[in-house]
This record gives sequence, C-alpha cells and structure tokens, in this order.
Amino acid sequence: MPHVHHFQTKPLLRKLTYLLAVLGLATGFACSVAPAAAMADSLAEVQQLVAAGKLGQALTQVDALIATNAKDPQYKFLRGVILTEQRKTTDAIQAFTQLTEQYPELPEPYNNLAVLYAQQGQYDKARAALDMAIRTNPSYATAFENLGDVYAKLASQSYQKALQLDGSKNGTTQTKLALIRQLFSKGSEPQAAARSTAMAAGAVPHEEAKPAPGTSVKAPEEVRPAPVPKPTVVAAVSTATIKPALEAASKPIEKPAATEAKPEAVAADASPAQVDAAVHAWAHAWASKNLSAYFDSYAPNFQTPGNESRKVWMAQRKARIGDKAKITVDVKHLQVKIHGDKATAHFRQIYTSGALNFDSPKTLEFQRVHGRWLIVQEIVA
Amino acid sequence: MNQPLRTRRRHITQVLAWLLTVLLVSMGVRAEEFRPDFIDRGLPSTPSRRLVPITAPSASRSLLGQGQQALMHQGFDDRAEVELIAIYQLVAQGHLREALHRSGLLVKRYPNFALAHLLRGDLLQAEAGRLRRFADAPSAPGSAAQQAESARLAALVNEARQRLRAFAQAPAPGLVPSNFVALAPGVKHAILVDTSRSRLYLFRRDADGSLSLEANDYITQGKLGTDKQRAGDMKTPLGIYFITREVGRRWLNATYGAGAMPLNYPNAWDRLLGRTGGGIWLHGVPPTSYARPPLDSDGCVVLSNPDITALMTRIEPGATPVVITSHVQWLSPAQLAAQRARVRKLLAQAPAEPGSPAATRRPELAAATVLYYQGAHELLVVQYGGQQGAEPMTYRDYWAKQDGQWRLFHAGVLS
Repeated sequence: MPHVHHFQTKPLLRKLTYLLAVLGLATGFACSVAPAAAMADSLAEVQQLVAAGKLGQALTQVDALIATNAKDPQYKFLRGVILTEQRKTTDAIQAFTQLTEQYPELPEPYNNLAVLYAQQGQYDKARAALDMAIRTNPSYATAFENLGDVYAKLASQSYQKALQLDGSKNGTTQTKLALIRQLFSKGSEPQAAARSTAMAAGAVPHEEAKPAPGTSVKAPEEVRPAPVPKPTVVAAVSTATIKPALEAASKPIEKPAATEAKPEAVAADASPAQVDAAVHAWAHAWASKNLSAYFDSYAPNFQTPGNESRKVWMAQRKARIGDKAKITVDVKHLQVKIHGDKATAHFRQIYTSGALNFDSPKTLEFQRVHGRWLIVQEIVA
Repeated sequence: MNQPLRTRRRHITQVLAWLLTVLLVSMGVRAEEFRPDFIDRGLPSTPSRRLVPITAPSASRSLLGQGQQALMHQGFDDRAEVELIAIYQLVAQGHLREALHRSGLLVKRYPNFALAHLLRGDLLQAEAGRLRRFADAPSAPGSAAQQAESARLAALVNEARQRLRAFAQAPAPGLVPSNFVALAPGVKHAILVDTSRSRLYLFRRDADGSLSLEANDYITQGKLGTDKQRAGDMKTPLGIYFITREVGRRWLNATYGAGAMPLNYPNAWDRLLGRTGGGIWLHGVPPTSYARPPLDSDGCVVLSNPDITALMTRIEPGATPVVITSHVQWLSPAQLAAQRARVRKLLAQAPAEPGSPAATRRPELAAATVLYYQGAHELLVVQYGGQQGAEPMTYRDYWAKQDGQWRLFHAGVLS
C-alpha cells in the first residue's frame, strides 16, 4: 500500500511550517501569540489521541476545532486522517476531496486520496490523484513513491490478466490466487493499517528525535503488523465516547471476545443485534485468520457448500485462509431477519486479499444453539 | 527531489527500447533461415531438392516507420494486432508514455487479448521504474501453479515474437507463394498457412489470374508442431488440402469460437502413407480469449474470431485450397509464371499410371487449379472440371515425385 501521508512525518515537516506561515498562523516553533499556541496545543492533543488509538475521541475534538477554525485546512486534513484510520473510507474520501476542492494548491490531500483509492483497488483513480499531487508540487517525493507503487500494482494486474486469460484451461481462479500470493508476499506490500498506525505513533509531538518514525516511513517492511481494526471495533469506539478515556482505549482489542461471550447472557430474547454481532464476529475471525473462532461460528450441523464432510471443508478453508498474507472482510448493508431460533443475514461481503477484491452478496443462515447464533448455511448469491 | 526518480525512469525507457531493438534485430539477422526452436522438434530435416531453386525475397525491414495504413494494405487486417504492433513501434521509438496510453485503450477494446495485457504490464512496470526485462511478469520457483504460469508466460513471449516477426519480415508487396501454381477461374481464393511464422495468408484470384494478398493472420498450430502422422499426435498436418464445408457458430461448442472450416485431412497422399487421425479444422477461439499461443491446438489451425469470421465470408467450401507448409517460397509474378510453364510441361509429359482412370483423361490445364507442396516429397494436386456424359464432374489428381520422376498416384472424382 502506498504511504499514508501525515503532516508530522519527518521529511515533510518543512511542508507544514510553510503551510502555517502562508495561512498566517503561528507555528509551534515561533509561538508568540497565546491563542495560536493554544490551538497548536489542541492540535497536538488530537494527534496524541490518534496515536493512542482513541479515534472516536480524536474525531469529536477535531470536529470542535474545525467549527472554530473553519479556514484552517490542517484540522480538516487531520479529520481525514482520523477517518482513514477508522476505515470510514467513503467519509475519508469525501473529506480529502473537499480539501482538494478548497485548497487545490496542497498536494497532501491528493496523495491521501490516492492512498484511499488504492485501498479500494481503484488504481486508475489513485494514479490520477497522484498526478495531481505531483502537478501541485513537482518535488513531492511521497507522491512519486506512491505513484511508483500504483504503477507497479497496475502492472501486476495486467500481468495477472495476461497469464489468466486462457480459454482452453479451467481452474483459472486457482492460478489467480496463487499468483497474487506470490506477487505480494515479498513484503513490498505491508498492511496499510500497520504502516499508518506506526506513522501515527511517530506523529506524537516532542518525539521527533526518536529514530523510529523516520525509518518507519522509509522501510515499511520493518513495521510490525498491528492488529487490524475492524468494523465492529470502530462501532465500539464511536459508541464508547462518553466513557472514560482509559476504558475506551482498552476496548478495541477486547471487544470481539466480548461480543462472543455475550449472547449466553441475553439468550432469552432473540434480537437482530445478536445476529448482527455474530456476523461481525464471524467476519472478524475470518479477516484476522483466527481459525478456531472462525470455525466456532459454524454450527455442528453446518451444511457445507459442496456437501463435503465437515473435516474436508475445514481443511479447505484452513488452506484457503492460511495462505493469505492479509485478508479484510467488510460487511455492508447488513439485513437480519429472525424467525424464532432461526435467522437470516443478508449483506454485501467485501473481501480483499492482495489485489483481489470480491464484492458479493452473501447470505448466512443462523440457528440459535444454547443462546449462540451459529451459521448453518452460507450462500454466495 | 524528484530528479533521481525521473532519471531512473528514463534509464529504464532506454533499457526497454534496447531490449526490443535487440529482439527485432536478432530476428532480422536470421530472417532467411530462421526456424523457431519450438517448431524444430519432431520435424524431418529440410529436403534438398526443389522444383524451382529460388531464394525467398522476403522483405526484411525495420518495424520503425511503417505506418498503420501501410500495414493494412499488406493484408494485416486484424485491428487488435495492428494496434499491438503500433504500440511496440512506439516503444522501440522510446515513446513510452504514448505507448502506455494506447495500451490502455487496446486492453479496454480487447479485454481478452492476453498479449496486450502483458505489454501493458511491461509499460506500467517501466512507468513505475521497476522493469527488469521483456515480459517481466513475476515468477518464483516452486509450485505446479507456478510452473503453469511460467509456461503460459513463455507461450505469450513466443506469441509476441511470432507476431512481431510477421510484421518485421512480411512478404514484400506483390510476392506470391510458389504453392499456388495456377488457380482455375472459378476458384476465387486460396489459403496458405506458414507454420514457421504462425501465419495464414489469404490470396484472392483476380480476373486475369493474378493473385493478391487479402489477409495476413496470426494462427495457432498443434501443441507439438507440424507434420501430423497419427491420430492424437497433437500435430498440424503439412500438405495440400481443401476446405470441405463451413460450420457456423451456432452449431459449434464455444471452444471453436465464431466458426469452423474442416479440411480434408487425411487426403489421398496421407492415406497412402498410412497417416491417421482427422477432424483437422480451421476454427476460432472461445469467447474468453482473443488468441491462443502459437503451439496450443490438438492439430487444428486456430484463428482469432474476427479473422475466422472474415475468412468464412470469402472462401468457397470445396473449392478453396489450403496449403499448409513450414517453408514458404515467395516468388515474383514472373517467377510464378515460369514455374507454371514448367509444371504444365511436366504434366503433359509425365506418364500416367497404367490402368488408372487418369490414363484416359488429360486436364485442361488452362482451366485447372494446380497446387504445389514441397516437404519430404514434392507433391502436386491438380483439380479440374470435366464432363461424364451430361454430368459435370470435378476431378482431383495427386502427383508425387519419386526417384526424380513425377507420377500420378491417385485420381479422384468429386461429384
């Protein structure tokens, strides 16, 4: 994935200074006016929140800052970054698009827009955005690097098409998957979440002397993959904003386990929310390659797609899931219908692995067993 | 700040242009004796004696500077291929950006054209500054799927080479193959398949008996090359054949694409030599692909769907000859006329097999189709009309040269 560009990363510090000067704001280095300093402080505060993973809180604060400083692009920019971290891709795209319209002279929003498009697999759009970034600032190294990544990605797509299109052979999907794994397993495509998290950590003020942030930009391979934030986690964070900061911070990691444990307590009355949680827990287990949790979401009487034995099916799934470097599974437009102890969940499943991007309608049939909603049938429409 | 990136990109441009130039030059140098290595296996050594000793004046010239219009005039009527070549030309000239742009349009228009995707992959890699070699699709040693991929990649590189060679060394305008000694006035078209070049040429017979090139198409041949001997040997037969009928799309399995034209393999000569097998067709490709690799069929000659469709509108079943050869002699019209005179003379003088039906009839050579093939043996097929009572008849005689002597070995009658 291309580099997410944060204002505070080391090579671009000069950029930020320049930006603030142009906009007539005092910088942190030359603060003489008190309100400006206060603003800088609150900006730093938000960045700290982002670094600590308190994204919901950070978003609330940055929204407040935007309300009082409507003309300052850096708050809006930060808002876009937070939305990106929250994986609210559509909102983030909107935020950065707005910035490019209001401040067409800034290359960074274009760059981040490109990153988001690339995450969605829209490489042509990503390329166009990066071209704009470079046009606004011809010496913007990050955009050049990202552009290289995007072209390489497009190239690999072309190669895949070249190697796949063979009418005389079947089983091309197998080839396709294998090819992708081999293409991206070299570590050249680290997890976007990992990198952006690492960079967010590097964005904490007063830590510029630390060598880590700088190197994390240049050598993303060295960044340890961080736990991938998930839709359920995002929801947990945004609803938990009222809670004390510490609790909110500890929530994201524990939340999936909590949703799994919960149904027993509320087994008495079936509510769509439980099925909803089960769907997301299933998607999370799949995406995080937590096989035991994944298989645990299926009922013992689960009807395997090809009527194979559960053992065979499990072996297949294990092989399919295990060989992927990175999987994301997003659930959209979830609709749940409950009939007693049975439930049907319709949704759009957006599955990505490497450059593979499947957006398909999915139906999961659930049955409640000892208070837990378990999958009895999985239908790809 | 961006300077090193730009420089690196330009450097890569040069590398790619260089690679392609090397590719083209190496083809040009060996133009005359070139037989692709993948053709060679299983082929008998080239025969020594020829009916007419002629050096093939195949035009060897640079890809550069040939306009698209000029290409169209030389029978290159496959728009996807012409555009592909035009993009290769741009690359060779160093116009990578333009090439990249045009490759995008090409794959959009022909989304199943694998070679176009491969070219685009290279151009994008070059744009990313990461191109290392021609057809730079990634490969890592290991699995069976991996091996299948590298085989596929090698096949695509072969296809690129064959297509480029067809353009770089196209027969000069006006030249005709030695195989079409004479075409009867009723025979409007004749097809020549050059397996060494992976090409099919369609010639039109004009009113004055002269031939002009109408189509120059890329083809796929048998997985194991040519000179079919046995059923299932995955080879394309070499020799003189006729299209027996046309089969439209609706009668065909999707594998055969837009249409099919069966050939009369095994013919009288093949049967005499004990060759087996059958079902050798000219046909199209499934809708999932635009073309197949050079060596990919079970023995059939495979064309792109636009090409087979265009062919089917022009040929006449039963009358259109198809000569399949791995070595074409290109002649000027004057040389062909001289060859025609020689053949007429020898046919007039040659003794017919005693007792054969041909002993009692002689072709009206002015109104006969005379086809020549030279492989391990020299062969002539003479097809002409006649009368048997009130019935109009078509006769087809097969001649072969044995021990320096031409002999009629089969005289057939088509109703």
